[in-house]
Amino acid sequence: MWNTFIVDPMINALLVFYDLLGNNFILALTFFTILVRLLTLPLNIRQQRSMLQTQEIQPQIQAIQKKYKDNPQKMQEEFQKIGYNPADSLTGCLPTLIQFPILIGLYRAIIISLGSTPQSLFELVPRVYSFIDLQKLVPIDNTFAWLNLSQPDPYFILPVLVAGSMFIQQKLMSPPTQKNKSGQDENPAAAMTQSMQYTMPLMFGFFSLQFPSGLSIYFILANLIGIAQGWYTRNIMAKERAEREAAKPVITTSPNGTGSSKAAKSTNKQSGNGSGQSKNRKRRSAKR
Amino acid sequence: MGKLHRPYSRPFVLFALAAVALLLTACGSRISTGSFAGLSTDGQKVYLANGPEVLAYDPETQQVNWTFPAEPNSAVLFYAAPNNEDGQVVFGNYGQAGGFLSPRVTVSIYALEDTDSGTPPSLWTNTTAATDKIVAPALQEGDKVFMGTADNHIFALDRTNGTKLWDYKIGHAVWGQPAYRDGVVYVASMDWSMYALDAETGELVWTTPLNGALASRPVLNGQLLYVTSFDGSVHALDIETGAEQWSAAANDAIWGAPALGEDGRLYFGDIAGDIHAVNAETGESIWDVDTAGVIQAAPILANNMIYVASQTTSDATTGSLTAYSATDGEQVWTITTPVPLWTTPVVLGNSVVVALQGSDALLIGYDLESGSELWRYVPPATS
Repeated sequence: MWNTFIVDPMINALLVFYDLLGNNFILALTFFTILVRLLTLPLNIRQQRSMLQTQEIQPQIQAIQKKYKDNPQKMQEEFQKIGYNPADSLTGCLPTLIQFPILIGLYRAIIISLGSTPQSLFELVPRVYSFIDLQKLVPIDNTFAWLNLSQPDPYFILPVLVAGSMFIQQKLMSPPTQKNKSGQDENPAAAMTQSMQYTMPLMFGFFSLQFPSGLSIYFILANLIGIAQGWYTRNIMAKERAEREAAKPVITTSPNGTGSSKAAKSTNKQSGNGSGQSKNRKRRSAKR
Repeated sequence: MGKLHRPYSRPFVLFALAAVALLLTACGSRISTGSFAGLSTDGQKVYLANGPEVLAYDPETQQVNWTFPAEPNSAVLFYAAPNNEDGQVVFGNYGQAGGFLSPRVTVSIYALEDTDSGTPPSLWTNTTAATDKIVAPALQEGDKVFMGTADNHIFALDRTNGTKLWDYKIGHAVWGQPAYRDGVVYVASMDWSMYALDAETGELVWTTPLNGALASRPVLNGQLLYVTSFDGSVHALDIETGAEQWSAAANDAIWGAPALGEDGRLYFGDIAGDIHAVNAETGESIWDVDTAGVIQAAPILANNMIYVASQTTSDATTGSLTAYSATDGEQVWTITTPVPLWTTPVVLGNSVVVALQGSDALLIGYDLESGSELWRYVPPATS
């Protein structure tokens, strides 16, 4: 089941790309990575937007949690008012969850495709679909620059690149932390995300010491695409936020005491009251 | 209810992803390391490289003469058939990872003194000549050892101390034992090319590109060199120039080396299970036999019979050892083994010896004439 639906299609996709792209496994892997990222792009963008939006209203979420910790129903109502649905977290994690079978499947696919033993080649044959002329493709060229793609990079370059690119990607997806007066992070969740910025890259860099170089290259490519996507999403969201702020009504008091509203560049603080914040969040929620 | 919110769940998922990665690293092999056992003989003993152990077994005394290493380690695997010449046994391993923090792989080539019992003394070990698996058996000739590796190199070592003498880079791995004649070493490569190199200097004499990967050893016969290919043909090349003289087509890819008979015939089997006999001088077909099996191993010849090890059918979990008449391809006897036979058998005395991976018995000797079992070696159960 696992082989039929995950590993074998990946092996065959890699072989087809390898054939089409001049018997270059790195190009095949690059094309494969882009394809996978394109397929999961809508989910990824949704996840990133959702996460950044949630981070924006995190102070309000925490305030509500604190205020209504003994009244879950009221807490939910207040969450709804600010346009936050905790259940969304499951959907938000979907792209990450999708990476599980991709990661494991690709690990197997690379190992089997690049297998450099007679037995591994022999075992590859029944996995290959009949429309692929394997005889013309084997053996898969497992070299690229200084690398043997079926072995880890002996010069530590790929592990460093994996860690570095993953760090930048994580950085783009994480909110800045705010410290309170005692120097502690005000938002422990954001603080945890911050700590993940360092631990995840280090862990994956460490694992890359053991992974075949081909898989490390997949990580680097996926991270680079993730960086581009993160940068794009951030820019779009910043633009949208600016537009929202520009369209926000600002209450000013005339000398005769009557109020008038006009669009102005202002912060939530400048808008001056809770109902204004609530409206803005409802607008955000509706947009979402 | 309010406990599940995104910033907490995301790190959790990422940690889980990292845990899976750790699992892959810890439990999955770094590279696909398993392979088919390597079997050879010096006419008295059989030598078997199978996973973490190399052993020498004497069927006459039914004793294991020695095993190597003394403390088998599942992290260091051996599958290249040991090569014994004048009491010196040479073989390489599949490499050993440098440790969790070191991505470097150390591949070792060993020369041991063949002994009748006890631990074979080490004559030399070379840990720098190769950087990837030794799949191909070594060839000891004169004062040199010739080897091909999975890191796309052919090299010569000093037979007395293991020092590398020369090295030649090729396009892909070498899985077949080199052949030697008159100062030239012939190597078939998975890069679809046949190479002839000066044995003294490693300089290229000629190279001939063919139409498919070459997984087996070349066979020399007079002015001709025969090599089988994944392109489904046996190619006969001129040993002086590498020019192709003829080729004989099979019905599928050919993995094992051809067997040259004293009767001037060349025998080979293909993956589709067909066995072919052709005229060794012209490549003209003499007879073909269609079997249901999958033939990966090379056929072997003895007493005007051809012995073919195979998987019984493409989806069978059993193997077959079948004897055919070299004259007309008629089946003389066949026996079924509990596991598919991927390793080329060897002939030792009056027996044909097969290696069985994943079976209780590791080696079985069958009578050449009748196919009846003469002996078997069952390794002691590990506790």
